Amino acid sequence: MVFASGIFLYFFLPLFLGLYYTCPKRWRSTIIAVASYVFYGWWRPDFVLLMWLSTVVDYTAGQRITRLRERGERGKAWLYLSLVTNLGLLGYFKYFNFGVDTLNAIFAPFGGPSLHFATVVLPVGISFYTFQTLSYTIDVYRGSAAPVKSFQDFMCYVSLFPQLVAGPIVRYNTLADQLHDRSHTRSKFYRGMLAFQAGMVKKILVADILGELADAAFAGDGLTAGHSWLGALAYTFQIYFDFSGYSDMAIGLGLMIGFQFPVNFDQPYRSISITDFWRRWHISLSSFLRDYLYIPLGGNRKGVVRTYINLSLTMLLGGLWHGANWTFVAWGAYQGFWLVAERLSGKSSFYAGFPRFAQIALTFVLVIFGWVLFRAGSIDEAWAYWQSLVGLGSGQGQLALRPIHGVAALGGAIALWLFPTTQQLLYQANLRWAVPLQAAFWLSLIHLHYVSHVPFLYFQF
Amino acid sequence: MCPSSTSNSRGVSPDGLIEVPPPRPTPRLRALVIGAILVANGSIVLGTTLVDSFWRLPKPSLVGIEKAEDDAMHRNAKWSDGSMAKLIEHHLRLTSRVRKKLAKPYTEFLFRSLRETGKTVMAGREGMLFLKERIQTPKAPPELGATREAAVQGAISRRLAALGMRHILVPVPRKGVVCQANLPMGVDARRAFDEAVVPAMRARGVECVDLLPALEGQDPTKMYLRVDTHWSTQGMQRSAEAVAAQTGLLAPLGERRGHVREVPAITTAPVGDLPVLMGIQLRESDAPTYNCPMVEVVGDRLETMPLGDASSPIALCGTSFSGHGLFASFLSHYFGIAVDSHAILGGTPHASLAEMLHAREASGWPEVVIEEIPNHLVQAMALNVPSWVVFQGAGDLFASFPPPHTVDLPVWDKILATSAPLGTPLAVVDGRVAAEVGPGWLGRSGEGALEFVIDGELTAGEVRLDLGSDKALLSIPWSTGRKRVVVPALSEQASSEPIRLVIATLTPEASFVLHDFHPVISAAPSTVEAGSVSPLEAKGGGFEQSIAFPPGLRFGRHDTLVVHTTEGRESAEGIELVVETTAGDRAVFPFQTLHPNAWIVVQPGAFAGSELADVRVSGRTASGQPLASFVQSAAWYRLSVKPLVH
Repeated sequence: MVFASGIFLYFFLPLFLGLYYTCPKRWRSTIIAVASYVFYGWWRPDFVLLMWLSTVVDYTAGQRITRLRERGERGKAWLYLSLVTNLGLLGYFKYFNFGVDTLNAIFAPFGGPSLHFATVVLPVGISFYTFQTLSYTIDVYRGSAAPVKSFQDFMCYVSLFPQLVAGPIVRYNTLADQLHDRSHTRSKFYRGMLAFQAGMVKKILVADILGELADAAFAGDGLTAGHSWLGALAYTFQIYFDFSGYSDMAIGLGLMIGFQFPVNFDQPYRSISITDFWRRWHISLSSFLRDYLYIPLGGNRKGVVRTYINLSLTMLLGGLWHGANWTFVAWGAYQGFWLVAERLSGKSSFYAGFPRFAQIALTFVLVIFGWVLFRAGSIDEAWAYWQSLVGLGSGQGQLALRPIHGVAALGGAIALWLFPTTQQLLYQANLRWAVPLQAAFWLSLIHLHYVSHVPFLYFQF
Repeated sequence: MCPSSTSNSRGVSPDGLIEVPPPRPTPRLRALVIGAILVANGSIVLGTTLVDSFWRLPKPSLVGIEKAEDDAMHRNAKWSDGSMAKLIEHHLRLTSRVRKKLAKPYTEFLFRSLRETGKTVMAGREGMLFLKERIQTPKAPPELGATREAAVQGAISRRLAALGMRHILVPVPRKGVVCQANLPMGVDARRAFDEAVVPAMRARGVECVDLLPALEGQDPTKMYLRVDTHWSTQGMQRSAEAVAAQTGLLAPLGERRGHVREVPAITTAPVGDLPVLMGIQLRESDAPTYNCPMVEVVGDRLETMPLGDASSPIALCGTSFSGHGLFASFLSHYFGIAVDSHAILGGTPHASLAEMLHAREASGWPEVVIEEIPNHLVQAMALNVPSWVVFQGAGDLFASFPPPHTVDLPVWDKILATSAPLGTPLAVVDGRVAAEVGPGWLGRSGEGALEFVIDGELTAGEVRLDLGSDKALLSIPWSTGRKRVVVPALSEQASSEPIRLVIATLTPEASFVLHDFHPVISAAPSTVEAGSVSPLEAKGGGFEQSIAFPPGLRFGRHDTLVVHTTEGRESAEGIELVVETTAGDRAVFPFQTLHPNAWIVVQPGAFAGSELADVRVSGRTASGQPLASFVQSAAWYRLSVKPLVH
């Protein structure tokens, strides 16, 4: 089920909220878990079993590790079981096809046999919930989190539908206390509703409308340089408003049922360097990778060379986490390259001496070039698109621009560079913007009736 | 990775969580506004829930393709693959009263404020509207779609010719191609597709009229209606004139049926099928009238020769382009003779042809059949549906009207293959994928030939074509590449057995494109070598039998080995027919089950030029009981094949 759909807005959500607020407090975690299974299993009920497997394995691992620790043992085997299960699920469902295709591509020039297997279907959100359950076991193993008190609470944590399929990635120790003790106030509910509305407006009125242009731009017809830029810009806007829109909706739904989730975006397109960008973009993923990959690899504690290797490796794997395609690996490498380059120049960009607006503009351009890699179907396509961007392409195609694209882009640009962040607006909850938001939200509801829904981009990751 | 990933900005707690300020006294006005916001949103959501739950609209009655798609959606809906959930959401959307109430004013608002036209329609310049799916052709090479439909039209032409009719095809260029100047900036109608249609048809021997130059001759923007998908009366008139001129049927001025005159443009609100598709009613201000006078043809002789005259020597078949308005009248005018119109509004050209053949069967065939076919249908039939369906449409047409030199085959079985790329209507049957092919395409001529050609391209993997009836099977292995398969003579007697074509993939991934599928071959056996069958030997729980042929037998490209099995009572399983050459090449033709008194027919054409060394048949009985003999007789047909038309 997706948030921006009639079935969710008019059937699932009212029924869920009605049940949630009328039932006794002790049942609420169970209600959330059951509702989350319905939410998740709506399109593929069988995939709920995978989530169950991950839930049961990590719950058991957490309990066992705790008991073993009481006896003075570390319980490393249970940690490995969790790692193998979660990474195994992720590896099989997300990377099996990719691995087979890659092997075939490697062996084909030597006349090697071609491997054929049935295509594995990717369960939605598997990258998110496997990371979350993994974080629980690792935190319990490290001793940085206490084991969960009840299985219901753990089910609720793993399946928590507001952030289940596209984040933010909520680590167990972040949510541990809230699982059994959270407040439900009018202020939270009201702010949650506003956040949900803001996310919906971002998704429906900006991301989906500009997404049409981005799809046309990356459809493979050669474009003129100017139109290539428009297409790349459209995607740059789309991915931010789509993903941050989802995060806002997740945060809002969380607040409506008393949860406070991590902030996931902090005006990333106002970054003054790529390092700064990664402090502001998909914060829950970058902090997860930092704490569970970069630091365990040695971080910056093992010398300069190892630091750069660790940084590059983290970004490569971060890229691969986004999808089973070499374009994502290349995107990770591209980001890693700039992070290393900026670290070499003292954690600042090579254009750090420019005025701030120029730094923001240059970083924005570098980010756009990165998104081309992210969006293109293959490295070749990305290369061709880059060539178009710099005027070396031969394409003469143009995008079918319509006034509505201009309106959406203008609205998006104002929100990006002139508005405060969603979290700042939520904190103030000022009627000056809350009232206009209602109009925009209602417009997005009507627009949703007008168009069929477009899935969120981050569902595929 | 970044050393710090949380912001210190307001609204974010120190641990990176969304921050909510502690409760504080709220001013009365603010509390009222917040209360109103909550109530308003609650009312909107709950109101929609209640209305769309208890006061739903009845499901719209669907017809034609939409109904077929809807039926298929219901039939195939499963929870296990998400299609059931999608069906429920689709049903909720279709029957939502709130959606219906809101959609029309919102669509009108978007159209008037931003010229937005929704998913199906595109707003062009000067108030012209276009249907999106007819603008954006698929990215396949333009000639591909045209070639596929041309194969069908070629077969239709041959069939009609066999019945004594002259077939003239009139492809109607797409509106976006003719009115390219009115398309919005950046939209390319991909003219190459329309330009490829006429040459492709002519290459297949189809007499074809090229309307593109005629419609683009003067003011192309006036050839089509502004807010409708169809051509204007001017477009019809120019097209009719071009048809008559290009086919040599243009009557001298004095012999025409009337005269063409201009009619002042009507200045009421713009109407057409495109605003209907958008779900709105246009105002005059939405699409201002422009100078596009209508034309009509009038004359006494036209009125005395009503359309649909079954005695007319010229029949018109086609779609709404012919069924609407004056096209038939213009044709009558330029031909100087009445035209018998069988065009079907909303129908396909093939359906219209079938209707004409039914209608004219008793009163006599027309001499000339003009078949109008819009290019968007050529494109849709050729590219948006599996190629099998295209051929099925034409095959169905001749199921009722078989040409005299073929024998009607009453039953068609499935085309089977294990790979999905053949198209969505395919269903998995016993681990293989099945598709329907209409009847009327296979026949056996009095000359002893199965008239059947499959011309296709296997772009990936390997497949095996098994063609035959319950009694006889022809097995042809096929590796990647293009191949033209000629099905040879099987016996000298005509037959009306049901024939089955099975495409069984031998590799998990196989992609197959059918270019041609038509009966044009005359093949006659020139030499028959009888085989000598050895006694049956028990082998590995089953049996094996050898067949010897005279030494020095060399494979010809169309040579065919026919093995006739015994008339026992028991079916055999796991049959393998092995053919070996003296060079050591070996072809294995497997068959799962073979009933008694069956014919195995194989065409080991890949070994053309090689010398035959050995033929063996092995298998086992279903019950495990021994057989006295499996092969009754065997013959090697040295075939010569002559294409009649290609």
